[in-house]
Amino acid sequence: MRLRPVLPVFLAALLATALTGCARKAENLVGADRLIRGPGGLGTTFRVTGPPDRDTFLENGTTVTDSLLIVGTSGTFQARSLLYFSKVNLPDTTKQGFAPQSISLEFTRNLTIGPDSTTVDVFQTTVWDPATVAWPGPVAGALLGSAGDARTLASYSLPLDNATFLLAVQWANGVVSPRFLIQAQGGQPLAAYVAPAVRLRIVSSHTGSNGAVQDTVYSPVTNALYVHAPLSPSPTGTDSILVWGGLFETEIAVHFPADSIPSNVSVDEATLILNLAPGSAIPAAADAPSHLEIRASRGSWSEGVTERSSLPAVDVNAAARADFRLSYSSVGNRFAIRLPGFLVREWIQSPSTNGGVVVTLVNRSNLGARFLIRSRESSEPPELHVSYTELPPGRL
Amino acid sequence: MRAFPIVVFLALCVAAEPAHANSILSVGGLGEPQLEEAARIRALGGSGVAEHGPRDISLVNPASLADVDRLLLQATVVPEYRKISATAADENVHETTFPSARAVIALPARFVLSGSYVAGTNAEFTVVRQENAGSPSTLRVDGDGGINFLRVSLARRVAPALRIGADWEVIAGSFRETWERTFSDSGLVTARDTLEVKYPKKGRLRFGAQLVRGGWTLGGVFETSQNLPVEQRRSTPGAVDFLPGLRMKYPSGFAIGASAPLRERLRAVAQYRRANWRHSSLESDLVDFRPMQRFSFGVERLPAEHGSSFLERMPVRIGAYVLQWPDLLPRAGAVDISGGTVAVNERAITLGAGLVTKDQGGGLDLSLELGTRGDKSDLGVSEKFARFGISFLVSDETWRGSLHR
Repeated sequence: MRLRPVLPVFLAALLATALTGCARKAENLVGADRLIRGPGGLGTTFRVTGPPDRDTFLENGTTVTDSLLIVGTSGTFQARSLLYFSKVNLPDTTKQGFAPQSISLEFTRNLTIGPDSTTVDVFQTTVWDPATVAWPGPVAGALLGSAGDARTLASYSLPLDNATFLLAVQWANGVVSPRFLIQAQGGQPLAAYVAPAVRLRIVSSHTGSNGAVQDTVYSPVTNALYVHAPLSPSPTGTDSILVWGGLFETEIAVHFPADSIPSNVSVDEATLILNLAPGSAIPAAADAPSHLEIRASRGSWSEGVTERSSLPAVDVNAAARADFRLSYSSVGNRFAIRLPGFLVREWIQSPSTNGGVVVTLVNRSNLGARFLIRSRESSEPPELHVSYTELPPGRL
Repeated sequence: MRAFPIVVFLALCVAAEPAHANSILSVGGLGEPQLEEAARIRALGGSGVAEHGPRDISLVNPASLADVDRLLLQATVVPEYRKISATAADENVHETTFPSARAVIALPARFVLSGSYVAGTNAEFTVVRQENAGSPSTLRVDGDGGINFLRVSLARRVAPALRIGADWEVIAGSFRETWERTFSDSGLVTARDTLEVKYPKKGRLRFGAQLVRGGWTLGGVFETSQNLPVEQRRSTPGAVDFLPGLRMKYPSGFAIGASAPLRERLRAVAQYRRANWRHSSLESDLVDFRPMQRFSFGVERLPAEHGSSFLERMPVRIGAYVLQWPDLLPRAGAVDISGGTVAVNERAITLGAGLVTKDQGGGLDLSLELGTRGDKSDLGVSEKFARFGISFLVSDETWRGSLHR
């Protein structure tokens, strides 16, 4: 018998058997009780809860570069806005009968704050750097224009009556820097605008075949930001309320000792609980775009700090993000914010790097709302819930 | 076409995952002891120590290679079907083992050299169970690994009646378990931890000899011991923890056996094999040890000469074995061995047949092992199993090469 004719058949059968046999069932073995690993069992899941040993609220500088511009005053809060146009577009001055007519700043109102009418001034300013500018901002130069803002319609035009077309040409040529300071007149209420929507408008006319023709040229803003007065009142370290959000856009910094969690465990869950105090704003539909960001601080700090920059080594990148409204539960009137397990793991492994977390409200469209959080000095302090499971026991 | 057998052989080696048996009794201790032999010897109850011939090689005795006169490649796969019986329910499972693969080449001066992979123990298992320690969870443990050997063998016939051989084998392998815990509380994320048991790869020697006289053969093997520090490491994302170290002494052992003619085409084989495991081999609260012993017996009706019918040319083998596992496991319901231990005994009857090429260069062997192990009253679980062994042997003669002498 020659093997060669039957060889491929045998080999194919062998291969098929091996392949099909290797497809194991994910069986729930009836003898699972044979998994015996000593008196400690197969590992227990524990849940620990603890209060913080430090908490405070703080501001992240006095310069805000998000999507909002604010001017005016509300209580201890004062704000003014700064604009810079890297390129100013001019109309075609060579057209027959060219005549400049008006120069203005065009805004889109943000009506979530500042419902009351106010009067806004525009000043020429010296050069400022958006990366380093801080309250009170650059010195106001020449007044370029002034107008009331009735806070009704979506668009708002602020004429620069004192700016000549020659000055616009100098802006365009770089002879004079096109940087402006926008502020409400002394003590006037707040007004807010959409920062990226600001435009510089130049209107002119020329003579067409049927008479005068109006031309409009727009220049989009390059830098738009606002600066505000420092946080006031500032935290004392013994406050029973931590102010979160509001016009100062304050953040919560909180530190929990993690000494009670063993180092050789698997962290299953960590949740930061923040309880709302009576009188606090409650997350509403207007907060829909908002989300939370949690950043780790890597060193020790005291409760007297008022600025995020005073915290040691706060991570640039957020360790976690969460939807603001979904983090809130009306049952218990509290926020439950999930912390990443690796963060708690780091606190367990290297307690010296446990500087707690900074919880920030981001992309807010409801700046008027201040959330009042009960501090560790209150009867319902913040809590950290951690669930962990012992690692597998040994096999032998 | 000539390359086809080699290609398929290599594909087999890749496709068949090593050591996929998963006895429920291998969730602790060193795992299920494996019989490394090919299907021909499996069908004889595992009695291979006295086997010899141009293609009748055994993985137990290196001296059995001495008569090989060509290039041989041999691989074995063992699909297995098991019925597990516990006090509450029964369950059927299946898997495939890959107990051994071997390459043998005849060298000048009548030396024969071989390299092989050999499965020692098998700790493949899956367990799913509910846990209520703290927050309720479903725990799934997937175990892999076991003890394996990588072996180099050298053999020679030093006299017409005497064959000797030696193995140098590396004690390899490791144990790895993945623990996945899914909580009933949706607020808790699934925990995924690992447990690894490792030891340094160290070599040991095995010596074998066979005395052949007439149709009689006596064979014997001696295995040396080796000390292995054992490291148990458990880890989760961000944390690694080491358990106190253990020391394992992989024990010495021996095998003796004989092959005897009964009639013209009938012979009997028998073998006793022992590895001297004992309590001091690895001191643990979770497992104790006793010597591993395998008693094997088989009878083979040899194939007829050319000219007979197809069935007459087919060898028929029957056998039986009793295997005493070295692991002494905790009693059912106990958390460790302080409450006493229970031995695992495995008994099976075996049968098989084979096909040999006309040129005697290669062949296909099949075996069937039907057996039981475990004890429902003391261990809480017993198993019945059916193993189907398939071995394929090819040589340079099979594809008409010119390497053989």
